[in-house]
Amino acid sequence: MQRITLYICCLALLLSSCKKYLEERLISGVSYDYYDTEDGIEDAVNAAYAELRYPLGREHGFAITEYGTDEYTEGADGAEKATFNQYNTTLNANNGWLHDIWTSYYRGVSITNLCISRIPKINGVNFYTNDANRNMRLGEMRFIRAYCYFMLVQTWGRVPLLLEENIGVQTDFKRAEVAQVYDAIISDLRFAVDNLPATQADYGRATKGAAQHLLAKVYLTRGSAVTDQRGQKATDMDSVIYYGEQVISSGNYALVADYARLWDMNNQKNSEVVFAIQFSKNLLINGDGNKLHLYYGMEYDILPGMQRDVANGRPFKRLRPTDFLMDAYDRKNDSRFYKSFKWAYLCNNEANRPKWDASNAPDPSLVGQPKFNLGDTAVYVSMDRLPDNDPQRARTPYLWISRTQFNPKWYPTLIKFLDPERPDKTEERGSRDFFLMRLAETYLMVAEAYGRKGDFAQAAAYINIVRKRAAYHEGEVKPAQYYLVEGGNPADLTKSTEPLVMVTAADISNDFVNFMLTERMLELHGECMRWYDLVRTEKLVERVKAYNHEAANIRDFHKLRPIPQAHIERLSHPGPKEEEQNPGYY
Amino acid sequence: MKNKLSYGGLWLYLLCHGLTLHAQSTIQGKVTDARDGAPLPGVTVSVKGRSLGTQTDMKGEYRLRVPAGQNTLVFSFIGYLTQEQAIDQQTTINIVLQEDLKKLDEVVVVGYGQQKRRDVTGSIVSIGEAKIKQSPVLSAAQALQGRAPGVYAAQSSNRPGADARVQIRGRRSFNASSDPLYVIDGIPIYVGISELNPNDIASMEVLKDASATAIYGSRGANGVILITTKRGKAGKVTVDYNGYTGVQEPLKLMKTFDGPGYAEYRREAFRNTKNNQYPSDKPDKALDEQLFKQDATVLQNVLNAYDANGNYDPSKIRSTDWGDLVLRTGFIQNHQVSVTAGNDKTKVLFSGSYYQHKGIIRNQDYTRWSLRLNVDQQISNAIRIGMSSVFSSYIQNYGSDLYSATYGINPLSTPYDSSGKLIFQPGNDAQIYNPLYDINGMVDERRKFRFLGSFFGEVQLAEGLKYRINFGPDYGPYRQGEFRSAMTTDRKGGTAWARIYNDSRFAYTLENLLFYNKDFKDHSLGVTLLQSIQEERFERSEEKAFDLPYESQGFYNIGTAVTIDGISSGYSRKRLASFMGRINYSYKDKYLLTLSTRADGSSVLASDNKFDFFPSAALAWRVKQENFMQNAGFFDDLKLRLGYGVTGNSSVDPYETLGSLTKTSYAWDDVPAYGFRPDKIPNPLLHWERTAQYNVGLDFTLLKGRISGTVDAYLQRTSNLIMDRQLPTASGFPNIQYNVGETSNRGIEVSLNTLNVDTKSGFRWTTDWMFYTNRERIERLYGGKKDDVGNKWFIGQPIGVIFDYRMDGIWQNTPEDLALMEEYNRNGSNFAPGKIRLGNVYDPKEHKITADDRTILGYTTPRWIGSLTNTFSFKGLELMVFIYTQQNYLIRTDKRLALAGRYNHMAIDYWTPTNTDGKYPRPSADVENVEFQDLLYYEDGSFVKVKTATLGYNLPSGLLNRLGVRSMKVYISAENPFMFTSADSMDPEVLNDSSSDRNYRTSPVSTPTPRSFLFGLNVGF
Repeated sequence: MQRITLYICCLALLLSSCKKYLEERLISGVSYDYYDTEDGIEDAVNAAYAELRYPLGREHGFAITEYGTDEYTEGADGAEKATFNQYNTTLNANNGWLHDIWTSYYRGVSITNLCISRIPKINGVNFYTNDANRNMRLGEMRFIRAYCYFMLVQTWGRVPLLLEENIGVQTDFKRAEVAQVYDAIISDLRFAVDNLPATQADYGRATKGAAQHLLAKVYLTRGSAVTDQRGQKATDMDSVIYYGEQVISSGNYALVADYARLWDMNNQKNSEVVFAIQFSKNLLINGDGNKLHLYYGMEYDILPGMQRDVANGRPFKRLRPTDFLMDAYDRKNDSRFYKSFKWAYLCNNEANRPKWDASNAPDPSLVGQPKFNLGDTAVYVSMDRLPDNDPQRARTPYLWISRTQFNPKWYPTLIKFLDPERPDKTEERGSRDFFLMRLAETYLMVAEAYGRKGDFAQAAAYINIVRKRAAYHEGEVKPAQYYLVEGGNPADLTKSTEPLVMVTAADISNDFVNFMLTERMLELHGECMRWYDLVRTEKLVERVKAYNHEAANIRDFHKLRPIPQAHIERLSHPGPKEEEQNPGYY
Repeated sequence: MKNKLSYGGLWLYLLCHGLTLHAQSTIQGKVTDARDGAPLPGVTVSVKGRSLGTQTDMKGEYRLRVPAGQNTLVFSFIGYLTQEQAIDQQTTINIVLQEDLKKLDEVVVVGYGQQKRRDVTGSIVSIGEAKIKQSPVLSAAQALQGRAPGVYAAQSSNRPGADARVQIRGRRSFNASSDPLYVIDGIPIYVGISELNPNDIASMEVLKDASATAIYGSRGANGVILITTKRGKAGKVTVDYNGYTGVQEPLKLMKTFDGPGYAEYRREAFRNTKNNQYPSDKPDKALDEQLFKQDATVLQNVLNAYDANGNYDPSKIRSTDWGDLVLRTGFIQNHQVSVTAGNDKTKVLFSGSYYQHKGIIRNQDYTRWSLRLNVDQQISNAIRIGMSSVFSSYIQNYGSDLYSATYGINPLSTPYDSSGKLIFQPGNDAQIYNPLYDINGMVDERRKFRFLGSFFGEVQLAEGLKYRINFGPDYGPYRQGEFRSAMTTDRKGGTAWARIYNDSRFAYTLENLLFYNKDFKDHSLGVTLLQSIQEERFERSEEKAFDLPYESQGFYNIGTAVTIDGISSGYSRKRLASFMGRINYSYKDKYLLTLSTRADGSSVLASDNKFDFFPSAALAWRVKQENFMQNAGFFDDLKLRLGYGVTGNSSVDPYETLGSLTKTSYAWDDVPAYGFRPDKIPNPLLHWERTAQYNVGLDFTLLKGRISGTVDAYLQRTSNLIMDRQLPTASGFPNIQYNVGETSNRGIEVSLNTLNVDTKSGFRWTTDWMFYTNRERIERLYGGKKDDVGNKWFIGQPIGVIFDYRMDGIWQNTPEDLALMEEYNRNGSNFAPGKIRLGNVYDPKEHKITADDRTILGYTTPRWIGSLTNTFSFKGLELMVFIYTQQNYLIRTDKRLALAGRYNHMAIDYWTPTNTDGKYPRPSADVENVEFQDLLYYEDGSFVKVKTATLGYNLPSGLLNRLGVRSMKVYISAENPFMFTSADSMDPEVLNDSSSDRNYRTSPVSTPTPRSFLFGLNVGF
């Protein structure tokens, strides 16, 4: 009997130890209770910033902001150029890139909602021990949430508005009114303005200035509506001026004196940056990196004397400037044109240098000799209109690409995103910070607000601050194109052009909105905001039809993107199509 | 009682002591084979009704002491009819055993035990050693192909060493794998069986229906494959050598444009541009000088076609067949030596094997060796211990996708320059690099070691009562080292890159089993009880870096790299605790009943939800045993089976129910700012997917065993499907794992073995027929009966469908077509003559293409699978031909139709204004990807293949005896000698799992299927 008892005991022991045997402990990862700790919530805050990188730093970024605008059009390559540049039928609710971006912004909303609900309850041990710090982090999170909603509402119009933590299954979403979304954005940003410090110990965190700049932009966007209903108020332009001028007068920011220096890889932390999405040369903290360096380049790398290298980049040939962009400049006096693009490629490949032959050698002794050496100009992109068969061309050692020969492979390459600091010429993960907000735009926003109020003198004054920087300064040596192509006098090569680029109230008062759009283009082209500018001002169709020849298919309904079908299909109780989808897409 | 139970030895002593009280007689004799009179070793000789017995020795002789009062001896041997012999006064009984054509007494391995075939109640296919050895197979999984109805085995890739994918009775799950559970020598294992040498396998049993698999509970839903390895035998030492060696060539290649074809294709692509960049209908020298000027070699090659008068002769163009440059003749060899030895106490099998496969792609090969030791030891009459263990190792040079890297290359360009040096960018295209650099420059070496053991002890506690303990460790470290030289298509002349990845997996199973068997009168009872625990522990680590200072280091000194690209490590552990009970009962050998239930507790489920139960019941009726059937001489045997059972599918990953966060990275300037964002939503309610399955089966044998077969029909319903329930991402989460969906599978399986001819002269022709059809259906999704269009899941349809627009030829330049296009184009389409014309199914009057116009074009799994194996034998000669077919399914063959006129791709019949019958759209250099180009990729994958044809010769034993050789067989074999298909795919059978879209079975573009010719030799001493 004893033994049977023992068996029973053993069995009981076995069953009870079973529970212990089957216990599960997460060791290599962490779960949600981590967010209730100070370290955990700081990691959540960092994660919210990390989300900012996703939509802009890759192909999606330019596709929805620069394709299909008046300033850039498609290059030779690119899988989605028909969709976004040509407004083809593939621009529909099933487009994956739009869903990616939608998802990313809502991930940003989700993580900031979590932070905003939990930060007040954190038991502080180190950082969260006083309200100022707590409110600062709350301000950062509300800044990012506002930014996400601002992008969502501009892209899709009416979108679901979630302002509470929602870890769990949620499948019922109603689209909020556009005005409601703007109200929420403004409320978040006003909190951020009040609670963020002017500077942060960690470079890259949201500051008061960043919140003010964004708030000014939000008011400008809401207030630009003509027929659209965004909940615009008569005071919107005053608010733009109020917040914009606070940024300008804060003393924390200043224009970089030379437009070219602004884009210097080694000058990323410059005085003009109000807010920049951070990327790093340390690949371990660079995530997917800033890949924009890939997309604007022309196909230089198979031309004679050239090969791909780190400095010149990997040319994906996605985007090329429109004629409208190139001709909108006073190219002679406005330095921004020649400083925005790359004009010459220096020979970096001895092996495939072209050789003189009897028909073109300047001297018979040169026949069979290479036309140039390493480091000499191999390719020159020029704004002249030299005909194809001009004899000058053959006598020139380098490849001379005139404007008459521009095509989807050959065009001026935007330098704003080039990344010569990548560790390897094939590396896609660039380290250049993305300037989401810079002071020049603050000036232009304030100028636009004054102009929209009818105060063209003030508007001109602010525009001229930006134009003054844009001019060639006294003593600055202009590029040779000044006299070779643009008709300048060689004697004026170091003379200031500042007086020549200024505008007056009279110059701008006529058709002010179109003037302002062009003015913004001259300063900000390529910086992934153009499509929103055109939509904001309700000028998208007019200007794209006029200036982007590939985008002839554009229609009025294209001012909003289609709500991703995947979203609609996953709703538990979707409303009728007219409710869930934007017009034109069903 | 207490003492008897606990001290088995004592109990046995008492038992033996008791026996001596009776009078005994000793009987001896010899058992021979009726076919040739040869002695039969290993025949079991037992006293009827008593657990007394012995086996015949190598000479077929036995000696047995029989207690008085016992009057019948039973002689049984696998594959032979059991014979009973009454004992009178004689002391010598010689027996001649007849071969059993009906195979009813064949022993079949079932879960946790063995049964005679006639007693089996579930749907089980057994593949014995003879079948496996019939033709050379490269892997254990391959041996299943076409041999078991209901089993679908396909290569996942043609890479040497790639595992075949096995699927039993269709797919049930969206999320979980469809891989069956493999049980090797009684131990359920966690990862694949590719390391197993097929020559070591004695038998494979496929358990298909739930009444057979439910005893594996939460792991049984995908079916179970029991693998039993060979064991030592008592008697003379035997030595066997099995080996083959052979060569391989591609079965079918991707046909790309040759030089002249490509040149004309390029011209057409540039004619079809916005401002006609090739304004000539015919090849024009001046235009060609512009069109091909990008690369001097290419240009010269094209210009060679023009004579002095400008006449064009394309035959003067020289083509480079890039694909051919990376292919070679494959080589394959396999050698195995096995030794068995033993006496009545100890039995040992030792085997060693070496397998080497050099693929037909120049940088892919695989080498495996393994050592096996199986031992059985009788410690006392009641106690037996044993082990089977295998240590194996492989090295796989995984290579790169070398062959598919050649598709795009301009065939007018050349790989070498005039001095014989490799050109890095042939054709001077910025995106095309010479793949010949990759042959040495891309290294991906994978090494795995594995120790797999099964150790057991058995104690006979009382008559009919047996206790067994099993312990099965499975340990496998794995290393993957990758290196990519700067000069490769991947690094494009940048800096060298390297990666090192290590993981290690340790799993064990510990089982306590109790068996009880009792026969009384017409009743026979068997009880099996099990308690078991299992654990799998997994660790991994990985480092990646680039800008290595010197390339000769490969991936062996990664710390010297300038840039660290990533470092990570991980850990997971899962455990299972189980209890199982089973009752087998039979009445008069006519009515058979099996009842079982298993309880599985799992660590990966949330704490209140850890245990789940999996019951099953099966009934079999041996109709032939009924009196009314006794006169139905037509039937030798007829058995009807009915089964029901519930099984689980353990598709929950460790820690899944807890929810998890994922790491993010950001930077404050260059200061790291790592973070964690929500990744998975916690779901404490998550539990197993459950499959309930009904099975009805019929086993029959006709005409004295000349025809035998099995028909099974089944219905499976899988509920609580774990689905990535897709959420509106506005919530911040894309999906959550949830038990919501329901699928069903219904199917019919038929297998038939016929003996067509059996002449006195010794000519024999047998055929094995196999037919299998399965229909998978989605019954419910998370929205109830609502389709999930985003995932292409539709209620009432299979999981794998191709859902897209319907292509309706090419738009023609006719007034009707132009008018119609005009209508569509007004609604935003971009149609033009030469473009793909769509069948507008949703609302043809609307003239607007919308997402609603997509429709289900077809299914990605074959509607039926069949095979036919014919074996002809005459004297020692044997010819086996195995034909296999899969019918009626759609595949997606990526023809790489991108960047027309720039990249090369599959040679197609394209539309031009003069070739209006062209099946493919007119190329345009303006277009990167043809709109709706996927529609050009879907095609019917139906095929018929002669998978194997083997001609073997068994040398006559008379001759061999003189040489001292026991047996010897030589054979030649052709694998995949023929394929018949209308598909463009290189092989519609091979499915590519790496495809990002689960629904697609993208036909592989990376490696052609090899055709092999092998020579083999089996010798036994």
